[in-house]
Amino acid sequence: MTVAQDPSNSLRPGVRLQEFIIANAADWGLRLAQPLLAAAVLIGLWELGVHLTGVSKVILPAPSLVASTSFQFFSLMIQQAGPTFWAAIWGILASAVLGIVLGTIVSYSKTVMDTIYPTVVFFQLIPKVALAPVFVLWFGKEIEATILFSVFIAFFPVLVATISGLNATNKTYERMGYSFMASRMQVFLRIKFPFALPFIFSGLRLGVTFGIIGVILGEFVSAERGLGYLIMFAAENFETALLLSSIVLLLGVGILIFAMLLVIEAIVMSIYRVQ
Amino acid sequence: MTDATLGVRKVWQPVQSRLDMAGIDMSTVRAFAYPTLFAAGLLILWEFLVTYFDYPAVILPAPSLVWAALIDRFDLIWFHTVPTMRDSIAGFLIAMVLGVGFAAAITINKYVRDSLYPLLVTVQLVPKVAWTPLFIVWAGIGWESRMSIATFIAFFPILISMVAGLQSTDKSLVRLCTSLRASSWQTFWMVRLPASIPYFFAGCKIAITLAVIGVIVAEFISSSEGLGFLILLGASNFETDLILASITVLCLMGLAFYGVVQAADVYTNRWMFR
Repeated sequence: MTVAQDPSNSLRPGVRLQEFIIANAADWGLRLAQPLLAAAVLIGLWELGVHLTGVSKVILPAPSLVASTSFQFFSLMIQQAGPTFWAAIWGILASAVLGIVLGTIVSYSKTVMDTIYPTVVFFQLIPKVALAPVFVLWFGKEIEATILFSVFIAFFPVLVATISGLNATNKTYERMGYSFMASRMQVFLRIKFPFALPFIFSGLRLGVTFGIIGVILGEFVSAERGLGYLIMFAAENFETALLLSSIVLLLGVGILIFAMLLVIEAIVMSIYRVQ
Repeated sequence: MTDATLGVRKVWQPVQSRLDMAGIDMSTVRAFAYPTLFAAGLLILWEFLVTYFDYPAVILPAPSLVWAALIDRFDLIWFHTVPTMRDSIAGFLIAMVLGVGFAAAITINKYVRDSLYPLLVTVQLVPKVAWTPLFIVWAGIGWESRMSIATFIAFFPILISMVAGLQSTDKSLVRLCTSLRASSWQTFWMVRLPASIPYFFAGCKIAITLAVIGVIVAEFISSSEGLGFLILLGASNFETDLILASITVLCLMGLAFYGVVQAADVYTNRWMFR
């Protein structure tokens, strides 16, 4: 594998994108092929095992059955995936805005920070999912209640990441900014915020996973719509094939949202690197 | 300076001199006093608002009512705490063994790493609570399903942090081992494993909170015992004070678990680097 040692492995200035892609294609292909191959082997073993042992399709449906069920109920599943996707998007967006804004405010006052931060950490540690039935009691079964619960779950990691990110700014740069007569706003926008960005994005990655968990749990408890409802429905009727198809679709939704975050992260980071 | 601030000074000065003598500095006091006062203030405000506006206790009972429910019905709550505690601890311990085992396999064997690890990371992206109904179909509505869902949820953070920990070993140490003709097993046992201890505990801290979450979600979905069941029962009977009392106990349980892991972390550190 000479490619692995190739110095063109990272995209440096002066290396043309085309050449970079050609030089690394084999390496990337291999990296992608291995897990895909392993997945194919595992699924093959699963299919074979189900047929050989004749295990009931309630316990473990064969992958082929899961696939055919997915096609059969495709429109139903897509229809249920919509509310889950949008609830997750709105929940994550609200958590991001709330977490970043509140984190910024908190990090500017030592007193507020000393007061609030332990409470926030406390909320990180307790099992917040236990409040799902209470949210239904308080806010009803509408999609807004699901979004609110998702915010409640996803907001804390973003807040904690923002606070620790803003505290991690190199104090020398901050002082340099002030000695160049930069206003507090300028110091924040040009120095503190860019330094905090990697932290904020790692918090957002957690926030995305937590936000989706919140939506699914909300749908489990309120049982009106969404993939969470479909999963519960399938489990109650012992439609294990439909259950697995729904989980696979949920995996798709999760990966889609995660990929959106990665794209946003890449764009934001490149903007700040240019400046 | 007004009389009021002078009065505060008069009361505060002897307290401060005591603290100075005990060797406790002001930042420690701040770190404890502020959040405690904040929490106490919130509780008092809650109590006051609910009582003042005569808010229906079904929606939001006053803290005093929650406390009363906690005392009055402690037997019931404790009866349901035990299964939740048992299933979370069992699930967490199994996840710990499996997580470390898989992480070791992934670190030692290159092929296992390249093929299995990306798959595990991808599966990790689905909200794992979504699998809970499947586990109930598989393992029934008894403790087995709740323990296995706790294991399943707690497994991934331990695996991922252990893989990171085992691979973060100082490369020069590994090279030293190779040049001293240590076998890859010896390198793993004597160098990689001790170096990964902080990562192990970081993973455990996430895993223990997740294990509790897994058990609670499984109890929501179908169970006849446990705090999750009690919370759902309270919700269907509109006994909000019972729900909040159960959640309080659940929080204390979660914090106690976290505290145990944290203490184990601190002791291991002391023992290793004494």
